[in-house]
Amino acid sequence: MNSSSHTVHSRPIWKSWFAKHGGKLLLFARQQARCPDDAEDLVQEAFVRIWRLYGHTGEVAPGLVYRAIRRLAIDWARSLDRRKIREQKVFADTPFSSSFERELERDERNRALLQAVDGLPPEQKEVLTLKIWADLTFDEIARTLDLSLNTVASRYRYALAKLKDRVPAILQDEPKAPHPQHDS
Amino acid sequence: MSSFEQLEKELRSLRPDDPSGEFEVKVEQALGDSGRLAVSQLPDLDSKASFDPPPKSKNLVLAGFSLFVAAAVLFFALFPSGLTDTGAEAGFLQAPPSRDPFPSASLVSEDDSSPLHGVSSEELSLTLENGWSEPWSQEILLEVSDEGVIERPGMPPARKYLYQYLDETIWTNPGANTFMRSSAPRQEVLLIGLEPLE
Repeated sequence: MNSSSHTVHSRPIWKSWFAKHGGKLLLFARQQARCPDDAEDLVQEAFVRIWRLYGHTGEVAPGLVYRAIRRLAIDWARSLDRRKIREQKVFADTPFSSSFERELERDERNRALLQAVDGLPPEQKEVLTLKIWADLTFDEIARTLDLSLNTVASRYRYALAKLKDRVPAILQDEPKAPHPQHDS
Repeated sequence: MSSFEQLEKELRSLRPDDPSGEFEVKVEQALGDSGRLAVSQLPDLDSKASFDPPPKSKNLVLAGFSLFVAAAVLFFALFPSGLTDTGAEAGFLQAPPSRDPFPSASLVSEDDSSPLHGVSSEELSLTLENGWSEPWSQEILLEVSDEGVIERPGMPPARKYLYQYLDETIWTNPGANTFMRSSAPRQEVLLIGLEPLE
């Protein structure tokens, strides 16, 4: 609906939808894109395609957009020339934590956790991203990544196990600092 | 997996940064009219924080009408026009049960003379008051594709053509300087029987 001045208080649903999912979509797109600039383009292209198809219903399943991002990224990667593919090696190192700037500012605990996620293999990181931040089910993740349910579940389990090994201390709600000089 | 619950909780508490305003503007431009469909403003009708209290009953009527039409457009969109009555269902369509997480449909009445799925012409005419003019509809042919020759059991083969349309209906209220548009995709299949060579 387009409206005159007395109804301009309304807000298109896509904006609310995008405010809720946009950051998560970008997080996933940055893992799928060959360079950082592509991430926004991927999200835009995928979101616009899906919203044009289903947006008039007022609700779009996020899994559809994640899947579209994944497939677009594959298509775009195929069309890259060899020079760009070499360049992607540089861009691929863009830290995962760069998508959480505000969280990094908040405390060291978050920083350590995100750095640990950064250290995960890409295939585990993408599953973790879709499960934790995109809040997709294993079934939806399997369809998004074209993997079996078992593969998705095991990658997720391995990712969590690695994180737990790497950052055990920060998982304590009230971490206790060691004070050996006071030990009796 | 219970030993990981705390870790999962910790991770979920971290929120990725929101997209920049500049990026949102780019998306809005790319969406074009698709981002301004009538149904897209439905939730905000209940939002007191973003809505001034209606000073006149006319605004209430307008809001009610908008809700009604938006709901109708929603129904219309949920039921692709490719589904047709079988007669035995006496004018009702039932979406097949699905485990798919994507939008599904429920029961809706059908009136062939109405431009809106699930809304009878009589119901629709009641809403076309308070300055709303008669809807204007158009059928846009998007694409015709030749899908080749198909086999039909017990019948000669046929060439299959797929027509893809976009049905648009626009309501205008010049007094309120407002319009609403419903866009719904539709497909038609045309089979042309082929005579076998003798």
